[in-house]
Amino acid sequence: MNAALPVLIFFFAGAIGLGLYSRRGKDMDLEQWSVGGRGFGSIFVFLLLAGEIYTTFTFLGASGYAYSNGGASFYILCYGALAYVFSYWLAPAIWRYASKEKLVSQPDWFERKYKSRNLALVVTLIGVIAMIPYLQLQLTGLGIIIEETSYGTIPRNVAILLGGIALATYVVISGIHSAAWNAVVKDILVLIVVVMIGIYLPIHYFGSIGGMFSHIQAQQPDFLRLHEPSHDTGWFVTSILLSALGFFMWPHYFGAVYSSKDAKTFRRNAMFLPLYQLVLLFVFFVGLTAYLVVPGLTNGDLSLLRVSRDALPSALVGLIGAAGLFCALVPGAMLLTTSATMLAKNVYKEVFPQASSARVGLVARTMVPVVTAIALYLTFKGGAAIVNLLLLGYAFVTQLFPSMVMSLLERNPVNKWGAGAGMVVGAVIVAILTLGKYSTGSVLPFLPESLHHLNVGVLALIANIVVCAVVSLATRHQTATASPEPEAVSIG
Amino acid sequence: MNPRPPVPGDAAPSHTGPSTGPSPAGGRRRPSSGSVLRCGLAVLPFIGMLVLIPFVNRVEPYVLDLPFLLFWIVVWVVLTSACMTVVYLTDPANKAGGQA
Repeated sequence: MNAALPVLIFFFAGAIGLGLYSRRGKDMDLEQWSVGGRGFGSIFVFLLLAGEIYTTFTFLGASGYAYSNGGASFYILCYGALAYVFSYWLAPAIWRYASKEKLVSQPDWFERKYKSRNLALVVTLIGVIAMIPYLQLQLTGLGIIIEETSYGTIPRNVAILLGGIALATYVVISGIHSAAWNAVVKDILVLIVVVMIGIYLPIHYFGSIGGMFSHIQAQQPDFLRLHEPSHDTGWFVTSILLSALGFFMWPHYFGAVYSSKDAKTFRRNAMFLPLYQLVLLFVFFVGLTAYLVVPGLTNGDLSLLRVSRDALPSALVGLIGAAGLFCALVPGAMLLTTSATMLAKNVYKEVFPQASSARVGLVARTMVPVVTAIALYLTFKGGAAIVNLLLLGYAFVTQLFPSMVMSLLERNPVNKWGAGAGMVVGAVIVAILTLGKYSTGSVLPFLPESLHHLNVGVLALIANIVVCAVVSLATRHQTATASPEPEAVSIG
Repeated sequence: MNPRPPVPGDAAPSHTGPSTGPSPAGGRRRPSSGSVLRCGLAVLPFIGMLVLIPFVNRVEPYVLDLPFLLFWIVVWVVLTSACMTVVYLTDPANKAGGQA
């Protein structure tokens, strides 16, 4: 009767099998487990970096956002393309230094550049805190997929729990290798599924894609542009900017960069990856079709699977679910590998410096179920919409951007005090504003109306840069390193 | 793999490579005309997708069946790729042996 679930289970078993297969003949020490022994070629790196594009967020979140907010969702198409422009120069610079210094994690970078272990600890905490909503997002997505493809037989919470356990198991076994191999399957599957339903569903219901758009325009004029005050152009532009800057600051992105064999890979990828983003277009088509066909869902993230269930046979729904499953597993594996590596290497190893590397590797694996459990707990306590979880994570992780970019300068005017103070202030502001659901207009009511809905992450970023500059200036005599030009350069 | 020896006496470790170019963290080398061109090309997508958004926030006219805002963004994603292709092809760092 329901063919969807068997299809899903088949692919799930395949994913685990591939994860196990990928570790064959590898001595899984920490460098192998977390950055693949730095031996990944173009295609793997391409797919690991593209893993950032096709996550549960894209699959369910982007369609859900299009379903709930119309034109505002188009921001998702922009920021990735802009991020790859940065990556052309940024990624090779990161890679060059990291492979020279044999870095494994993102905090290693800050420790080496700013010569401060405490700063590395701050970076670890910010990174792990930012990754938890991102992981929650994958788990929420897994839960939705399993629940929907089982046509409601498996309740959501059981589904989330199952997904979390499976994810943790396969990460413990094969680390980033599992992500790399599954990324290949994932991208092929997603490409086929998304293009297929993105074209088929509008045609099935409205005759053509243009027909679908004119139905929406007739039903709710302006839905297809930025029309809500809370999602005005100020919000749109700042959210794109913040996400494009934050893109590189994800700890797992650093891990993917480290895993490359050479630097040219990144420059080559910068040409192609923006085009790869266009697949999102089809995701929008699905979300907008759902807006007309299955109106009234309180949770927009369900829209893609709900409309597919209405229009397609259950075996195909299973295939769609399988694509979504890989979308959750691959980034989930990267997030878990990275956060566990950071906790083991930059926290445990700092506290117990005499610990053997085998022991650190063991601690890293032990951290996987711990981090998973925290994310599961928070997901059960209260799930937010997928896009909001992502925006929160981005706002957090972007706080690393100023001191990261400054550390690339030959003579960095920012010192460890400035970097640390800026990050902490930025992160605290993000946390307060986001958790308290403040908008820019409510914090700074004197701003003109058009700026009232700027992404609050931007306020935190500005505060971060100011604090970073002031503290660096004030403490410039305390650091012995030569920095003859202490004037702070603010970058935006 | 990593042919460049560490720079001796380098108190503040830094990336040393010929390809720094016009990154946000751009080096302090005198810019060649090529790097000015690449810098300009890299800035274009930001103008298209950030600065000009307030002027294109409209549904009509439809182009290629897409609402205008969406069409505009799609065009700029494609142009981003085109810009980066020109950057890649003109960047001396990508010439044969330019492995840094």
